[in-house]
Amino acid sequence: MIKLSNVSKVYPNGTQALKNVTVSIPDGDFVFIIGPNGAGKTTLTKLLLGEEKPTSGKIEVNGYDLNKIKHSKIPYYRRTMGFVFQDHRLFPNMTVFENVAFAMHVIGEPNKTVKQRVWKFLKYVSLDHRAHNYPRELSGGEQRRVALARALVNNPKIVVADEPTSNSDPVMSVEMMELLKKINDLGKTVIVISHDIKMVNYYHKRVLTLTDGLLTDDHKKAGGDENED
Amino acid sequence: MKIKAPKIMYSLKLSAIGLFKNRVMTVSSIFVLLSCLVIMGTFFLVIKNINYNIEKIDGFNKIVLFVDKEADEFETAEIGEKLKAIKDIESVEFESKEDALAEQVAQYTEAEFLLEMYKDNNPLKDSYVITYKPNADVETLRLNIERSIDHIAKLNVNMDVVNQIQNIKNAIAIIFTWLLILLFTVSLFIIINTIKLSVFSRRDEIALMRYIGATNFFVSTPYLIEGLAIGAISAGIAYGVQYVIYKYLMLELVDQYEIISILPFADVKGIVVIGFIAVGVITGFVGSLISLKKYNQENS
Repeated sequence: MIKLSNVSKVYPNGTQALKNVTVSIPDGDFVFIIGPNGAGKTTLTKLLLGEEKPTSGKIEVNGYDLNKIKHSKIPYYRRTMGFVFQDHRLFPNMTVFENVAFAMHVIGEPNKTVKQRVWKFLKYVSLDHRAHNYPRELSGGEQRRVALARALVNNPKIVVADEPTSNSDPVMSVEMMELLKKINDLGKTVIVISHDIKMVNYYHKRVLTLTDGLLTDDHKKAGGDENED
Repeated sequence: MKIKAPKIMYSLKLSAIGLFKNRVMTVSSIFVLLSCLVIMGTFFLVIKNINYNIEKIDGFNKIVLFVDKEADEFETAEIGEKLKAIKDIESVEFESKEDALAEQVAQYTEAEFLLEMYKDNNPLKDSYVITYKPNADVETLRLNIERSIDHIAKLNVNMDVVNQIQNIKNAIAIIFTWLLILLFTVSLFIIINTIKLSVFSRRDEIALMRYIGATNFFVSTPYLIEGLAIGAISAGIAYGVQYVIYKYLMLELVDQYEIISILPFADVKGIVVIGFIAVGVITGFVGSLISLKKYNQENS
């Protein structure tokens, strides 16, 4: 459960990135966050990651009160979230397997569990045959799937994907979105930050629109999946 | 905090990678730290040998107590027992006035008649030769003896020599302390920069670790291990270098002068090993800690 109540964020240089944002995202929801550059999407992401604190208002995620969370508890909070970065952030000197395993090693999982889960999620994103390749040997879409496997491997409750279809051809974009839908079907909350209005409209999911730091629209499943089902 | 074995293994792996990746700085740090350790070690061993030679000067660590003539045989013997109980006294040796007279007479030829002359009227006194421990405070010891013992005719303490030697020892200790601080600071500075470089080269990895949920402790551990490893490796090599210097310079070159005695390496190796490991490991650990604290404050 993600709950933002009257959240505002003003940076020390005076920039007001978010203005009184109030929104609630229940567990298992699939949400797009859209908006032009400078709308506040990155700030919202930083707040959700616990990287920044709101100037005013309240944020609760997965039972953690992010206004009051102790610095030492932030790592444990972050383990409840999986993040897919726009630039993938894969390590070029690690193989696909090692990149995914890295996420488990940093939280101290034993090697046996690491092996089992990494293989499971590489199969899940259909990249088990590429396990021993390096990122430079993969296509852009494959690299993104590795990043997704890494975000999923620690079994987070919420998956945040930042521009998961940017610089991708239509086939790759659909492939990625289908994977995110599949993850959502497993009961995980999926948040997709995107510029791609066409793709957003295609999936008929809940859409939060940010404009100049304001939540200007909360479009809940307009012609959504339940209509399709 | 419970530390899982896989975390330690992974941290060890990252440390090894870090040390190898920044090998130029790693080797520089080891070189600087080991140089500092060897300079400190050599200075320490020189001091140790100076002290050893001072202690060997005959009569230096001795006080002579003359018993007054009013003390009877029983009281004189009691003085010996009381002296043995006083702190910092290593040994006590009794010399009767008869033995003293005989010894003096033996130094002169044709003076045996003196023995006969002073047989019933010996002008000398019974005495105790007190040997005190090397690090004893002689002034305090003198006061303790005067307070605890009756029938003291005279207490012979060569305070001028004692004070002079004590002053030399103090001066050496001050120089050694400052040298230690200086070399420790230089080593610390180099290690801080090595770790800073190591952290900088892995900043993307660290940022991602944090996003995934790695604790500050987990992020910091590999760098702390790197610092410890630099300290331990430096200490190990420094010990070898120190051994060679001691064996070939001090034992083989200096020891040939009969007037100077050099301690065998076996007598000092324990303290050299402990000192090198302690200074090396503490320097490495503290250097890493300072570097990481700064980085964590700026980036967490």
